[in-house]
Amino acid sequence: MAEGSARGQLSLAAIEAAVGVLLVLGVTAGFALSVPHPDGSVQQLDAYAHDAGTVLATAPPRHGGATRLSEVTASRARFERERASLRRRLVRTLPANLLFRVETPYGPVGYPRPPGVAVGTATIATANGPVTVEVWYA
Amino acid sequence: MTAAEVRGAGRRPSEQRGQANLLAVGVALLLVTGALGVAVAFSDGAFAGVDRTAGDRRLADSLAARVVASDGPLAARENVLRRDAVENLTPASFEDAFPAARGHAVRVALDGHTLVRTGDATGGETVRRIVLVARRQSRTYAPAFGAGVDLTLPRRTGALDLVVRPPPGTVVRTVRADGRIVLRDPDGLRGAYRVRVSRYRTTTVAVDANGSLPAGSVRVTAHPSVTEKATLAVTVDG
Repeated sequence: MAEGSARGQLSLAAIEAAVGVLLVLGVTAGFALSVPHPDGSVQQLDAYAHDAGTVLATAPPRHGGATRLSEVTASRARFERERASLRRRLVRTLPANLLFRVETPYGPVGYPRPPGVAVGTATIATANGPVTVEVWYA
Repeated sequence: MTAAEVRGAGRRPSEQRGQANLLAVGVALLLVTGALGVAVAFSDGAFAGVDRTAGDRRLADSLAARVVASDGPLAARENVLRRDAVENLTPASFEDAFPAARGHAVRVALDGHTLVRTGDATGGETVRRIVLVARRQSRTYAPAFGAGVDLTLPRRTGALDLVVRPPPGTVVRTVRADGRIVLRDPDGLRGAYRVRVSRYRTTTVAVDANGSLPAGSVRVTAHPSVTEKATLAVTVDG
């Protein structure tokens, strides 16, 4: 048996098999890793954000104004005064496993948003500008 | 010595090479077939996993959206549920109010406490919403009214019930809420009335009469709602 030619024949088939297996396993890895699983976490977070916005937008105010949100966004001074109570209200309203950030025309309330997490967003229009509620899982 | 080598013993080197190649092709086919089998199993699992609960999730999502909608059967306004409606849910009334739930196993819970359960919903897909549960209170005020003496209600309310029983000789012509005339009768108001007022401002009630109105001659009943937050969970399991 000629040493070189026999080795050549064997390794050619082995290489073909290896390439084939690699191709098939590549497709498999695609299925196993990259099929998006719509577990509904973003939809759920959007629903939480929307609900929190609605609750704020229809809640009665602490002092004056039509609703809690219109009271908070009435002026910078009112925002500064109501900031802590708005934060308390959100902590009470949202489930305990959620963190939040509310962007108002006068500044944010809540926590800094970490990068790379799924975030649910809802925007409520008020007379003084939009208020955006963002929530994410702690 | 393998079978291929035995068969190829008396032949030329080129044929031996061919036999060895056949063995390698057999092994290669086995490997590729095995990999294909693994691939098919994985893709089958992936498709099954994606398809299995999409319908349940959609139904749970739409049911939860319907429960919190402002014109929903249980809602007082958007994201606010009426406590009496929520507590009196039965499987039959739930399916009447939410026809989409018919034929499915649905569980509706408020803060982990099951309100209604149709079918055998244990696992399945759950959608959670933040709601307020409102309980109606009734507060009656019967102060003395007069010129410049108004009643400012401490809590906001959407409707007022008024009972006007002026003393003899006194005619109550108008009742104002926040300066707006809500009741008027030049010949005199008497009896029970229901008045809608804005929920978005504090209501002040003023009564115009041609004489003094002692305490109790105009009784104002307000219905402020007391809300508490809760988490609504709608679970659909097939």
